[in-house]
Amino acid sequence: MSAISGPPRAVYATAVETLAGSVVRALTGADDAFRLADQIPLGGDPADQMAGLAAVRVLGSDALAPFVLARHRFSAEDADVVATSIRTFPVPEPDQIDRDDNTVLVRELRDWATGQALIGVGAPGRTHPYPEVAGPGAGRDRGWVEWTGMLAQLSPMAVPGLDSSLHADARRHRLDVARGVTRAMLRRDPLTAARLARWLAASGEAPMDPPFPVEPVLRQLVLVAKPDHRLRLEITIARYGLGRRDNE
Amino acid sequence: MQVGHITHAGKVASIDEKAAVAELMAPSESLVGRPPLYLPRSGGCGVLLLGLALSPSEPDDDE
Repeated sequence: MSAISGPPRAVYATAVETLAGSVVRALTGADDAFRLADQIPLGGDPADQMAGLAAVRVLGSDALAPFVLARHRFSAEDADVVATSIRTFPVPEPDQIDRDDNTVLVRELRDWATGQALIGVGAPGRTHPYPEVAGPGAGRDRGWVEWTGMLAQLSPMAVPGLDSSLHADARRHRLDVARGVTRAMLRRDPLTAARLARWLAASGEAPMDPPFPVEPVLRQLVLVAKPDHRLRLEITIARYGLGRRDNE
Repeated sequence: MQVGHITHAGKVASIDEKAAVAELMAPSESLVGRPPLYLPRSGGCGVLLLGLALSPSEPDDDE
């Protein structure tokens, strides 16, 4: 019997929180033996396994952050987990969703980031092409509010060492990203603020007028993040972008 | 690719399961589509956020 029962949304949300907590511990040095395969219950209830795969899919390349950023050893079993999660929860077909929705683009970009992370850890078997429609200026025509909303969904792309047209746009329009952070903070939406702060942290120290230091934002977010592992994960990776690993 | 210990390897999620994953990937903030509480003007956000960051406080505890 599944340890957690209920509608998939609630069960998967719990699994995502659990996995995010494990990733944070691995990134902050509290767990020096992180294995993605260990997050899928061995021989357990199929529903628990499904929830574990869903969590890997939801976190995307962030689930690989301990291997990419903290140099944990990546195994073939870990690669299998990622491949299975992608197979189990495929990107929706364009005709299954609203044409004006950017769901498919977001999912394809996240899969591209996952493929790049796999290449980074020496497991290039699951690469995903960078979507052509995500070239320079993608999404900018809808204004900064919608554009930063898309960036927030794509926070797994905002890691040190990853680069694309979207990263170039984020560097070029840092002030808009900062406006998104500010707006999210004022709306008491710390998760979005942290996700956008990741983009600022990953985009280097390019000058901005007015200046917008990221570290004070992260300190403020830490105050509300304690019970929220997903939020703590965003903050932890943002600090990697700033070159800091003392996340505790 | 073989995944020995994953019972559900090869199974594709149901519509409800896929919808649950999509929902968890969706913007948490509903940035789009809700009336904004505040739209910072260009140049104003840095000052506002610096003020917020320099006077941090514990979250409200209504309990």
